[in-house]
Amino acid sequence: MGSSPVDARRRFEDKVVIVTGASSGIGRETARRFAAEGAAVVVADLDESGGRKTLEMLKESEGPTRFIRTDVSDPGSVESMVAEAVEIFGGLHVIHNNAYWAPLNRNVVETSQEEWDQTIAVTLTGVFLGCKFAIPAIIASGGGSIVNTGSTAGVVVSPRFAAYMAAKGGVLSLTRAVAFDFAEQGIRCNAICPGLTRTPATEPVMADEDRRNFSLQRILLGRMGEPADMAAAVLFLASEEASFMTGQMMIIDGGRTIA
Amino acid sequence: MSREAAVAVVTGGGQGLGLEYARTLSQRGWHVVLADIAGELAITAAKSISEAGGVAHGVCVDVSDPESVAQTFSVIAEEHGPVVGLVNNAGGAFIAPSDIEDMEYDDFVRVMGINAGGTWLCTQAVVPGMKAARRGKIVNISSTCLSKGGPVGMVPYIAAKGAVVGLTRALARELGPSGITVNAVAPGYTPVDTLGRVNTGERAARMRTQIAEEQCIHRTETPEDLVGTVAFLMSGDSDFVTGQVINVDGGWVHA
Repeated sequence: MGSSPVDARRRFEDKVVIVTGASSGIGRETARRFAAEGAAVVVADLDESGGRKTLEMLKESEGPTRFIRTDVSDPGSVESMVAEAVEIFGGLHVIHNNAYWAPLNRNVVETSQEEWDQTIAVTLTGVFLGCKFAIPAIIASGGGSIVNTGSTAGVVVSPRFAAYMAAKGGVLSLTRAVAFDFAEQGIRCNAICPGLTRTPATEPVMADEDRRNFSLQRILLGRMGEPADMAAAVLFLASEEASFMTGQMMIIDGGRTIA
Repeated sequence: MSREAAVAVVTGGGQGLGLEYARTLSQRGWHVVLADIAGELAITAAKSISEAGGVAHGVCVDVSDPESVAQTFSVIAEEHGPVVGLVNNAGGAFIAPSDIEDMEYDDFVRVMGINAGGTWLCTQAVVPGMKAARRGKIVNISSTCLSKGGPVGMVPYIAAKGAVVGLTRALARELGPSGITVNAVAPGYTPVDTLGRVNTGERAARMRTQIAEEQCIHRTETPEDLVGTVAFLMSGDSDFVTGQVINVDGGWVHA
């Protein structure tokens, strides 16, 4: 039902936004939309070539953009990502903590120690570090909004995906912690919970017939999630339209999960 | 069909939160029909929206009365076109806070009938048209007091708002394959002057202070805090969201 009043929105004019994991998928789409709505956008990711491609797409918006190669599991890397964003663009108002890593088809017995540690390091600690370093900068800029990418796997079961489920469950609790602890300093924190979404990262899931069927059956709306569905919700949560929402999770999966 | 022709009905739209939802939806390009038991209020309110440049009409309806609902929605569809948006906002507590021993069963039935029955009847009225159009947006209004089970003294209201959540989930499941999304907004304590208001005077003042303190954001919620979420759930941005309850309460419910 889109039309001109909505498509011409500029809700993030003069705002500085960081999106992690923005070299592809959901992060790329949210970066694109933030830029289209007037923001200065930092594309943060380990994948430099994907990051440069994202910047190309953002060129249409004619707003300021920057790629900062970042390892979200490394405190030094995240700290300097935020410092660089603040230095170049003069402040920080929004961070979308979206980067993750997780091996597929691993129940707890099958998950190696290294796989567990790496999943937590990128998917959960990455969100912790993003919040930890962004919060002082956002407060110094007069307040703003944090949106974390959770998952329906943090709410209900995804078969043989144990480390991912644990990490995403942690992301949702962390979201509530940040919301509660920093509300008085003008920061809201919410999470999106995508179901299976069509991105490069989920191609292995789509290629696995059993996993694909498990995820796609019982979607009431008869299609897979797209990055556009997730990005629209991220921008809503980050915007003034959601100014009285904090500590919440929004499940976006075509009605497969009701919780 | 262009946005300009898309008709949304807001029940309880003549006053309080419903009027603010209608105003915002009008600004987003919807043709809004304000349906209210206080017909005169609905008509006056619709006029103020039209004068501000929107397309709006007001009608009288008793959402707890099957005949009133059937008749009114039939007229709306005839006069304005297929209804593809519905905000089931009509409702409220209506009965002064009291313990269950001091309430009448009729009070319970009445509160259920307006809040939950009204949601059921109005949804039933719009579904055939939405199915024919192969699209629809339904937003129901629950309350975060459902998660808390309080304040004390409001059993019928909390029960009814729980029923609204059940309706939301079941309708989402039933109507999803037809391209209709059904979600609920759960406001926190948002004092407004409407027919359903029961917390007044000292009790209201105490609630304001206590609840604002318990929220993450320490101030009393206003209608303006809710309109963005209702508009989001009525827009294309939420086409993949269904069966969900969105708490808009300044972080009062921590789950």
